[in-house]
Amino acid sequence: MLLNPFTYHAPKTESEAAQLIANLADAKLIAGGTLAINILKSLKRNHSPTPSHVISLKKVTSIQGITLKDDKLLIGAMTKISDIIDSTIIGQYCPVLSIIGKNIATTQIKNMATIGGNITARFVWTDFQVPLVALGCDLHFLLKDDQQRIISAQDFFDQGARSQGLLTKISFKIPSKNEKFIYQRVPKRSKPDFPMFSMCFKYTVDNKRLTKTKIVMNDSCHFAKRIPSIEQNIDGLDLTSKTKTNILNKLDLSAVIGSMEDYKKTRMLLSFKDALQQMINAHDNESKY
Amino acid sequence: MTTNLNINKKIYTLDLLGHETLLEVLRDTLGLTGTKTACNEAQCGACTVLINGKAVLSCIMLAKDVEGDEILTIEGLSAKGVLHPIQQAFLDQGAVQCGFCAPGFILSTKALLDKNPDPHLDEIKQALDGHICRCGGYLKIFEAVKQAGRELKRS
Repeated sequence: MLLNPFTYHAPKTESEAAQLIANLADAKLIAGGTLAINILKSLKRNHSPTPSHVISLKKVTSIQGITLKDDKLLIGAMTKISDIIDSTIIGQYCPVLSIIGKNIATTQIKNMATIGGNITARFVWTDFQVPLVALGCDLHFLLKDDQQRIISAQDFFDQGARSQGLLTKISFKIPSKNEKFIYQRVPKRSKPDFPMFSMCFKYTVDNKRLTKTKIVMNDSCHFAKRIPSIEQNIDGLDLTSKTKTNILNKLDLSAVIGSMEDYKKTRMLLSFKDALQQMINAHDNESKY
Repeated sequence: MTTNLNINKKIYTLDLLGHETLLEVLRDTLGLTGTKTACNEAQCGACTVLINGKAVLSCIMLAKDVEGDEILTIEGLSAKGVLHPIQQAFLDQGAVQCGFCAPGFILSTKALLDKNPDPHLDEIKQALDGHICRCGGYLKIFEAVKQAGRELKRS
């Protein structure tokens, strides 16, 4: 057997799942299983203690799916990455999530992994952290006795991505047409394909200037967080100015680079420059027509 | 725990403990050894099966989790001893060398062609990006996928 024995639980409702999570302190939650099962195998191989209970969320169908409600987009925590990629709602209202989904792992993993598992797995490098913070998402948790808790994605990652209860859905206000997104993901040089870092830029063009800029980044050591120093650097950039590209040479990345190796610093600078160039190009192209 | 698994359109009633992976149940309990054990870490694709028409990795899937789903293994692809056009295409194009990766590749090809009967090369590569062929037979595999697509469209 590849896994140590455990008691398998398969709740069918959100309440049942939340109650089990509250009652079984050492239980391992399984969403898509793409991280959890390998972790359990690795623990067994290393003769480490393994959980005596596993709670599979596969049968909690109420937390799957993507819907629109008023001006908000709701994504069930057990929605598969492949469903996010194929979703016409996501494609229409928030295509950056589809782009990020396409960058994740392989076809089989996309068919199994869930967005909820991606962000609650407590690995700093997971892919959906940066766009959820950039979008200003709320994470909805169900605790025991049907108590609800809503926490912003930013606060969730600032607190080390510690889940309380069952993550049921992710919600965010549908971005307006003026709000644009750019996503950058720089892979590590070797397998497996965890990103060295990934970034999501959210910005608005108002009166031909960049405004309301949000830059969110995670890397191999840190959960997703905004970078206010760089946001202030580029907010207000006049996109009609002939010297606008000078900003590319004036970026101050000292707040994020820290003690990074030189090659990482170079990759990061290139990524920022590329993203800014894309913002400038997008504006220039729109202005022609 | 009594578990009913629908594998290749046949219902198997099994007494499972709960911590078995689908791969273990297929190979060790049911003797369906067409699905291969290789890396056991979701990296190589050799353990690929189709669940409700989608390619998944059976080495990281609990057998209990797929109760109620339609499972297709490589054994379920051919009918009455006649090879499926995808299997035939793999043979015709010389895409099978040692053969160990072939079941996984073939099932992912089925999932692709069921959804997209006429894929471009980039789409083929993307659909098969979860598979490794240690013999290095990728070009022949891509040709086999194209041939299979043409055959399936014809039929």
